[in-house]
Amino acid sequence: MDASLSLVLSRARQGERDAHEELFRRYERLVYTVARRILPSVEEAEEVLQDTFVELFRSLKKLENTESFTPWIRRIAARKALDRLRRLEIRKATDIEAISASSGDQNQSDNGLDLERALQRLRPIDRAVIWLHDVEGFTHEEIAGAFKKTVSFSKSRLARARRSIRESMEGRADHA
Amino acid sequence: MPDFDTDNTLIHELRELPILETSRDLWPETRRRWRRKLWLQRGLPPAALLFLGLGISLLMGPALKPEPKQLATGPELQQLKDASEFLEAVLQSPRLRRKPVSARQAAAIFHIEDRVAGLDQALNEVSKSRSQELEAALWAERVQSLDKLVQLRTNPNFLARNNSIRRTQ
Repeated sequence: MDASLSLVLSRARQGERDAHEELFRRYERLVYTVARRILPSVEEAEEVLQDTFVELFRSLKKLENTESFTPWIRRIAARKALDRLRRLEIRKATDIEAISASSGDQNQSDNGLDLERALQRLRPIDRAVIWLHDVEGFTHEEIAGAFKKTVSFSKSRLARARRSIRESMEGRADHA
Repeated sequence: MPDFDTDNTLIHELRELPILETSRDLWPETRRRWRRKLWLQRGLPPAALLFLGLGISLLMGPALKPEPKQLATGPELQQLKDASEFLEAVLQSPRLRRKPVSARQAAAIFHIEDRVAGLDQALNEVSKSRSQELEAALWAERVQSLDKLVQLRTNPNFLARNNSIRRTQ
């Protein structure tokens, strides 16, 4: 961990407002990305962003190993997003938003854009499961517990999500 | 284009997806949310009752009168921000939110909340321009507006005594 982050964390633990803002500025994009990948709407992701930082500021003193700050904040964001997703009434229709609204697409490679689109096309729970498992490192047991379902539920959703993405990408290749 | 036949390739590509950005600055809202949480954790109800009886304008005194040049110092600006956050925490307290209001009170509340939303937008803009005087004036008006909201919810006679609110409905 860089020395400046260590210093900011130390100041934030003492309740310094500037340090809170600095942490926010450094990590808002990371937290938002985790939330937005899991949740179906920008508004929900923004709520999770705020909740995550409130939780972070509240529990900073509990963080024992400052080296693990980034995984820790990712974990808080993922859990908040998951809680929110569980509470949401998931719409049955697939929620596809304009890709351009979700990120700075101009800098993306073709592949990044297509994978992004394929991810967005997944059913909300499938998208959450693949992101939590493949990117955030959640176990099937953790995912199943969060959704109050069985491990088989998590495994089958993951398999379906991966299959859907492959099919989307292959469909694109066929048309190219 | 990468071959997504293997799970490892797909996982790798997912992790390489670009970072996303919010379309607006969420720090002011996050900070307010955090402050509200702090106030509530630190035992809002007894403290709130003290303020509710008196009205925060009495406690803030001249700082609430928008005289930009006098408000331009950092501590005074911070005082206004703290007062604003405190009043928001008061307004969020379950005791106050559960309190029934009349149709006239509701209309007045709606009007003032609308004004506060406009002020928030203006504050968002002014924070970019770094005009501390204007920022202080906006914060002062925000505190006054929130104070009115608290009074509207706690003092049944407040609306009758405040012609300016009645006129704007």
